[in-house]
Amino acid sequence: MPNRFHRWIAEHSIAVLMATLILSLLALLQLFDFQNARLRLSIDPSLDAISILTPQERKFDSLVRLRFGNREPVMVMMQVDDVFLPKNLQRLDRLSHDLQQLDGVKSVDSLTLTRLPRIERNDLNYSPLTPTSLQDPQIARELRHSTLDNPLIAGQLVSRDGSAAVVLVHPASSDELEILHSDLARRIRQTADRQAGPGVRIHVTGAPLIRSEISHTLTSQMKTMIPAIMLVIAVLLALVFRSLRAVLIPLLTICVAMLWVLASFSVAAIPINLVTALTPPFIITMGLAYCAHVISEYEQIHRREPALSAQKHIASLLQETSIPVMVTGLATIAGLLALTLNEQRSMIEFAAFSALGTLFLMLLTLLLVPSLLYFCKPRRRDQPLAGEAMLDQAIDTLSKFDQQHRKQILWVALIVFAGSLLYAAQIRIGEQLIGLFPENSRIRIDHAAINQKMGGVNPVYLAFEGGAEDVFTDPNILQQLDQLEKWVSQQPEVGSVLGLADHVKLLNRYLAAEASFAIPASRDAIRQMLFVGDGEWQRSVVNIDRSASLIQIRLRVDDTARIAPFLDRLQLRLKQLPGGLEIHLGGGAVIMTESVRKATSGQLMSVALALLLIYLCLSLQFLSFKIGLLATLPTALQTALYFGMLGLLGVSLNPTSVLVETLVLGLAIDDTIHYLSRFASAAKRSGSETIAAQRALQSVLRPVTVTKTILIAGFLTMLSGDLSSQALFGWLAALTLFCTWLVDIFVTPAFMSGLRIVTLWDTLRLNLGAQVQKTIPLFRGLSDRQSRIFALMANLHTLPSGTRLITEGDESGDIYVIIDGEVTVFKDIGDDHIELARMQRGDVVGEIGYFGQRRSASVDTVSETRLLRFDDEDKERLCRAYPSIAARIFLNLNRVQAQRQAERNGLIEKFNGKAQPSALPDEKNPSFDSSLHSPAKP
Amino acid sequence: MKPYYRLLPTLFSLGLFFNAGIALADSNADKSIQEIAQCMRVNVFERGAVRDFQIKSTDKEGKSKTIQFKAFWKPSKTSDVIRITLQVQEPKALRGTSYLVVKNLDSEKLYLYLPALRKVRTLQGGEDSQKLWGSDFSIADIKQLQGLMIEGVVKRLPDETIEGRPAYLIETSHSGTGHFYRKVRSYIDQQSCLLLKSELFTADDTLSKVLKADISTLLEIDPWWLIQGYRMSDLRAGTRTDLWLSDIFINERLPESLFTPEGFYIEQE
Repeated sequence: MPNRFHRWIAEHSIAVLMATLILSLLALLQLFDFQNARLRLSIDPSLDAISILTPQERKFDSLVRLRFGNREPVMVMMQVDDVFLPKNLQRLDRLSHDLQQLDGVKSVDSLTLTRLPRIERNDLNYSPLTPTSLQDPQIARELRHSTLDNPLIAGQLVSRDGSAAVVLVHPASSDELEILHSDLARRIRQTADRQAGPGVRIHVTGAPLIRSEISHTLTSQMKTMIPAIMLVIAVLLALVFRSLRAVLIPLLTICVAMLWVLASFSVAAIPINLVTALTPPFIITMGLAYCAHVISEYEQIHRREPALSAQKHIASLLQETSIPVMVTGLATIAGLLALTLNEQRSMIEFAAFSALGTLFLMLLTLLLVPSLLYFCKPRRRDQPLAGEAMLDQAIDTLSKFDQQHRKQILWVALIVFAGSLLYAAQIRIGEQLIGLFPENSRIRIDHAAINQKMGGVNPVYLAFEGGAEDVFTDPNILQQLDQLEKWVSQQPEVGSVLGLADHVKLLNRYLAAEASFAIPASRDAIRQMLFVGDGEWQRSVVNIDRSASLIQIRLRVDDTARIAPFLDRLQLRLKQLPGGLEIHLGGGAVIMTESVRKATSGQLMSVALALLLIYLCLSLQFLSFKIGLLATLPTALQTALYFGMLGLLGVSLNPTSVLVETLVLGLAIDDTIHYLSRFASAAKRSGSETIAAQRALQSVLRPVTVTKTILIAGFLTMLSGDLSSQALFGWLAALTLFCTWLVDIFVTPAFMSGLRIVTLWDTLRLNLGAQVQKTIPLFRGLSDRQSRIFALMANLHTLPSGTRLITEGDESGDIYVIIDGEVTVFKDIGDDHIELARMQRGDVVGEIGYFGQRRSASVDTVSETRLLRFDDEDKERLCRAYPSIAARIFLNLNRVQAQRQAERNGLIEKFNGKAQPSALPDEKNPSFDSSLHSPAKP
Repeated sequence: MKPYYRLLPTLFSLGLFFNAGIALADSNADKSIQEIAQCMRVNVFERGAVRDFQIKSTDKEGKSKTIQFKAFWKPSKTSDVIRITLQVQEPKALRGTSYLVVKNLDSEKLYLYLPALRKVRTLQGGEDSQKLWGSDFSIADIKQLQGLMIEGVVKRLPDETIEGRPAYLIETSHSGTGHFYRKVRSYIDQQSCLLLKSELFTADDTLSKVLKADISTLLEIDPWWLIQGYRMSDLRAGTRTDLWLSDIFINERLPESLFTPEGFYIEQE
């Protein structure tokens, strides 16, 4: 029966619609700045969003930036045949000056602008290269000679083969968002492109540009991709349901939920980042699934009971769907909140806002959808839609197939589960920032070109904290750092290394006129060299009081799966350095690698916790830990299947693939709970799990299939996205949805049909009426709860016809309640077989045993009979655990006994003179097991 | 390694050229730009010594480094050449590090001596925009401060008051390339013709650096005026450099050997 809440919603549809409208308007006002015609929502494509830095690490990273400057410049590479030709040097000089003039550029390093010392005629020369001097072939030749063996220039500003020169453009601000908003990276590229021409190629890369491109792509995707997905969904909904109602209601629900979530982002002043950008697809997915179930159920109710009023339809709909929707919502929220175990800020934000979105969807599905349905009564179709009969036929066949091949299906599921776990163990953890872009994109081509020519792009730094002034003028320490630099440069992932040792060696070579690069043995010499060489270039590797130093590394690789082993080796190598130095690893590559590593390593824990929370939710729904556990298994299988696919297809576990997993969990829960809910109610109605499995499948197959088909199509539209992470998200989600659909239609029904969900209590209620205390004398006066407890402490027996239940003269304390079937109570006296009574469902048999007497008559089943049996042990347990229930039961037994006594007296009178007194109960045998017919039969 | 040698004449210009001016006797309110420039330029000490010249650089983190020099300058008897010698006194590890700058209108040459190496090296060239000795001064800064009245478009703006002292406000703008700063605004004390404050603007019209005199150190050594302390703040980098001049000997007679490549590093009292 619909409860008050269901009826209230059904009666207040207008109020619900108005409340939704008001809240949505408020959300719109929050989200959209009408005055300036812009969204109050920012995009944050920074690495910060996906980085896992402790406050201490973050503080140190800021300190490193403060001391040594922002080590992530935009790299502009000019690729020509020979950089040292005068015309190319002039072009490089123009390029450098043009870039230096740009607003927002702090400084520019290039071969022509950065005056590093060179030896000319035995003098150290710092003369600036003027445009005029660059026309002189002699100067160009000297420049080639003096720079290609200079470690501060060769491999840093000019490629070692002299065919490419790099201009390092340092933004004035180190704030990523500020750089983004000024569109600096794109302006740099546009300015640089002006120098391109025949024989001159311009390539641009660097973290600011990559982030800028991600930001622009994300913004445009938000504007185009989400509407595109919605459009695809709308078209498919229209095709499937052929009803405007079935299209508009889900879309409206999703839009409202999306609006509320985006407004929540705005209220919290949290920008959308690489990870939280996947919240909208999540909301679309879950919203569609929720609505499809509810609308499908509504149509079934409407078909089943067309004569009911609109209010009663809505109340019935809520009665059927409110619990599964709430359990689904809460379980999904619980699963999402398990992600908050993650250390990654963006993952926590994704979990929090997706959980909030799920809550909104849950409320809207329970409030808005029924209210809208109230006003959108479905048309009565004279004929079913084309394909519906076919679908019904398919469901029937499928259901039978699942029943008949239950064992085989479960074996296959088990094998798939085991295989999935095996493949899941092979999952590779990794992420590529540049890999987010398509291979033929300009940014990726440029990145590869600079990486190849300049020996690495991806920045890593090693920051050393000496703890006292002048530590890094100690020749021994500089020797150690020099050795470390050599070791680093030999690693295959490393393109270039630059540190204080290089500066000191260069200064020593020029100032001491040493032939080779070497660290001076005298500390004072080092101090004096660093003093005369002090400036911005040197400050990028050592601070003002020489208490801290930095080694800059550029990696050739971008994939964190390849960076991680290098970082591990580096950590081991760092342990060989002398004590007293505090060492920190940093830079974009390190942050990215460590973030991916931590985000994914915590994933197993998150999944385990999510499954545990889902298990608890399901256990609560079915009030049984065992059923909760069994109901969780399909979700566990779907999760394992997903991770197995990642391993099998070689897809890296990264924040994107982790997020698809949350989607899998959410949908798996939704399908399982809707299936289970219908299965449970059908089982209780029919008293048979087999029939229930069939009916539940009939009920959910349509919405599950429709939802999955539409979502798969919707996600496949993401394949056209500009970022590979979104394309990956799209096809991974689509493939996973298909696999979960297979689990939904084969494994879950096969699994559930073997689940013994119909309890004794359900059987009692099914056979003896909803209020068994009114139909069974033994239960009289007990509340529902007490009746249920007592019933659940008993045992159910099914006996075939002609089975002896009680034998006269036996000593036994068992009491029976007949659930269905019939028994006969009789006495055999000599050759006479005297039937004393026939008993049917609801009757109590054998109550005399309670009084410690021998059985006074025999009882046989007349037909197949189901009985509830209470033995001595049950009674003892009852007395101990529930004395109040026991007291009531014993009182009822006394009543039964009194009734029997009255009947006996009646029988004595009836048999007086007609039978032998010995055949009747006497003082030693005061009663016989007989019946007490219930006053009302169900 | 930095082109510090080009800084030296200009540092002295900053410290002494701008600091020292013959006091103007009459009212300054109606002076033309040329008259103000003349007033500022009129007293460059021909020779002299500063036996306590300190540069204290402070980075963004708040850590600082102080270098103390002795400086000597003297014109050549035979040609129009400026010669300047700098000898580092503190910190001790750097003591004895010395520079000799020989500069005429067309060329400049720098000799460097490092005591730990016991070698004199000759250097050529330099870089305008790089900071010197890790300080907040670059050649570009000094050049533009030097060229306040003679380069670019100079205009006089309404007078201002700096810490209670009436000041001329002169703005020098550069439209072409070759100047790091697009605009320099200088506040010149009306009484002493000393530079009280300069604001340096980059191409995007952003205030980049501020040079400010410590007016409490304003001295009158009749007939000259002198400010002993200046601070240059780099607003974008968040760093600052303090200059301090004391123990000044004007027109002191100095040995010729102090300005030769063979003797410039020999310590003088």
